[in-house]
Amino acid sequence: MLFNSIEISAPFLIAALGALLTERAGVLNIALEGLILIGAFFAYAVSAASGSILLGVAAGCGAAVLLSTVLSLFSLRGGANIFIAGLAANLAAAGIIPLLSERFYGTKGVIKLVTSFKPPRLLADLNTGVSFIDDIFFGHSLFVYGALLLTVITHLFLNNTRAGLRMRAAGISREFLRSRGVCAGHYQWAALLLSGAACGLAGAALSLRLGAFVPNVSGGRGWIALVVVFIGFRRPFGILAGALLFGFAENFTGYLQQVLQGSGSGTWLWSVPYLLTAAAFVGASVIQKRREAGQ
Amino acid sequence: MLSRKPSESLFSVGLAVGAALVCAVGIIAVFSSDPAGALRSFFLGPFANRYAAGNMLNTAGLFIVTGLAAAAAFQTGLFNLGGEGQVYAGAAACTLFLLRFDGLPGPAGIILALLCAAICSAFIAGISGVLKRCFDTDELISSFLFSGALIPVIDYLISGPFRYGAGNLLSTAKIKPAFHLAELLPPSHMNSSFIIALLLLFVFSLLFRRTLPGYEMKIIGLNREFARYGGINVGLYTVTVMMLSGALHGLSGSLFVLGTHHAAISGFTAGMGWNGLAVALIAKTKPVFILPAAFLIAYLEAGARAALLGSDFSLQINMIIQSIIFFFITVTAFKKFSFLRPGKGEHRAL
Repeated sequence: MLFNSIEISAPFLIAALGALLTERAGVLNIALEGLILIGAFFAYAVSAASGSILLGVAAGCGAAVLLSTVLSLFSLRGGANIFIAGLAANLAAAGIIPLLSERFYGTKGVIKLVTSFKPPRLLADLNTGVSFIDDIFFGHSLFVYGALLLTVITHLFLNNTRAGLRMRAAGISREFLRSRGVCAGHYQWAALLLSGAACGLAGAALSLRLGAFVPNVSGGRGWIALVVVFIGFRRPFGILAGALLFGFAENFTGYLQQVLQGSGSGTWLWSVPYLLTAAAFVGASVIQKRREAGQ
Repeated sequence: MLSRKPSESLFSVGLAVGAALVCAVGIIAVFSSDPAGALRSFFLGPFANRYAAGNMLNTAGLFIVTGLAAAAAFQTGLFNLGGEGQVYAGAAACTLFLLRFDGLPGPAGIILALLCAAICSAFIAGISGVLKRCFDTDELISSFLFSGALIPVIDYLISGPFRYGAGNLLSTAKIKPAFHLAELLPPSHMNSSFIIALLLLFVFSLLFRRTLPGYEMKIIGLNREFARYGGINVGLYTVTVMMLSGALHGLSGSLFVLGTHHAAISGFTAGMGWNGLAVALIAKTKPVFILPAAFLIAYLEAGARAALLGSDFSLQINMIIQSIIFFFITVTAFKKFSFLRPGKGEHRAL
């Protein structure tokens, strides 16, 4: 239970860290859902075709970065509204993937190729003998440790580097940066591209973990990741906690689904992740409001 | 958010529509076994006969209503991304109401069912409005999440407790013929919901452009702080406009049921909410333009459907067309890579 929950939260964490950069830079990327979907598809397709997980992950990231480049091109260079352009990116991904899937694999449904790929597990030999601690720390996939590393890096980047400071400043006042001779657009551009890469990675983590590409594999996870940013109060370690929370929630929902599917009713359970996310989002905004009122 | 300069509007609308057409043609050419025939069907199919033209008009009527729903929110600077769920909820509420109270006389049943759908969807969207009013909860995210949570529940209701018939089609029972809206162009689906849509368009164009509430909505859309400073009750407008937007979405879903399908079918309103958003974005700030915009979107949709008759990609093609329109429609101008443009930091201001 614990082990799986941590595995499940890795994609949330990675995608949310990317979204955090865009939120701090003032160009909140709401296209996470589509970017994750694109990343998942290309990561699976390429790793299945080439036999290399590394290539697959690179392809997933590359494809997602490409889509986020389009997004930034329209929003930053074309002056388009970032939310409408973000919606466009989501719709584009949801429309293109079934077409590609049909074209290359002859199905709009689940793609499962013969060879199965599992991301490597790390520290699997270590154990302390206490299963609770072992479950938390050892034997997870590369993506889990990668996500933790990214959390630390994001924290250090935002708080301890000049570029991080400027990225945050871009979200507060473009004019201020301009007056300092710094171009805010460059930092917003970078934030959007990094969030694309993060989503590609998150998508790769999703489809490689499943060992198959399932249509709509993102299933609202992009929106959950977006909300995790706010639940974590826009801080990397807060996001870590939020992602873990949703990892547990999703694991529990999956368990419920298995139990209830046996009894013959299932579809309404798809609404549980959205409901939980909505509740958490509202809760976070209430707390935020209280804090502001307290100050 | 929406450009107010006529030249810029024309630029982005032209760009968006042009790009969408090019893209649709490209996809159809690639994915069809008979590209020339498919392209002819794409452009001429919607006008090929009475049936196709009537169906296109019918869809356009529904898009007018969802377009109004989106436009109401945009005018006030709000994003209602829950259209998909609200339309679906309205359709389901209307159907279930008429199945439950099937003894009502025709007109009374229709009016009560429309009301029921509007109230139901207004309530759903209203929650986002209230949360925004009380806790500053971003309505863009909350409305989408509520809609996402709602759709599986409605799917479940249609395919589970209220399912009728054992065929492949997941559908409720049909409502009584007394509640059907009058057909205008048989054999097509065109019905009097189109006239209702035109009436709604007329009333709301007046409301948005010629009344004090409409003016105050616009001021809020331009600058919330300024509106508050000017003594406008911004919170009240936030809630009521979200409810109005939801109500219009619900109306459109119920008109779809009353006029076209006479039952709620699993997933049958998919895309209507996004299409409404596209219509409102093309119309920009002038409600009158919702009429041609709705026709345009309905034409593109009907064309894609005609071109790919037999293959089931019309939903995907429509999504891609929508996405192209969304990408281009708020573009003001493609400028050179000088990131130093001032005054573009405020992304949510109109």
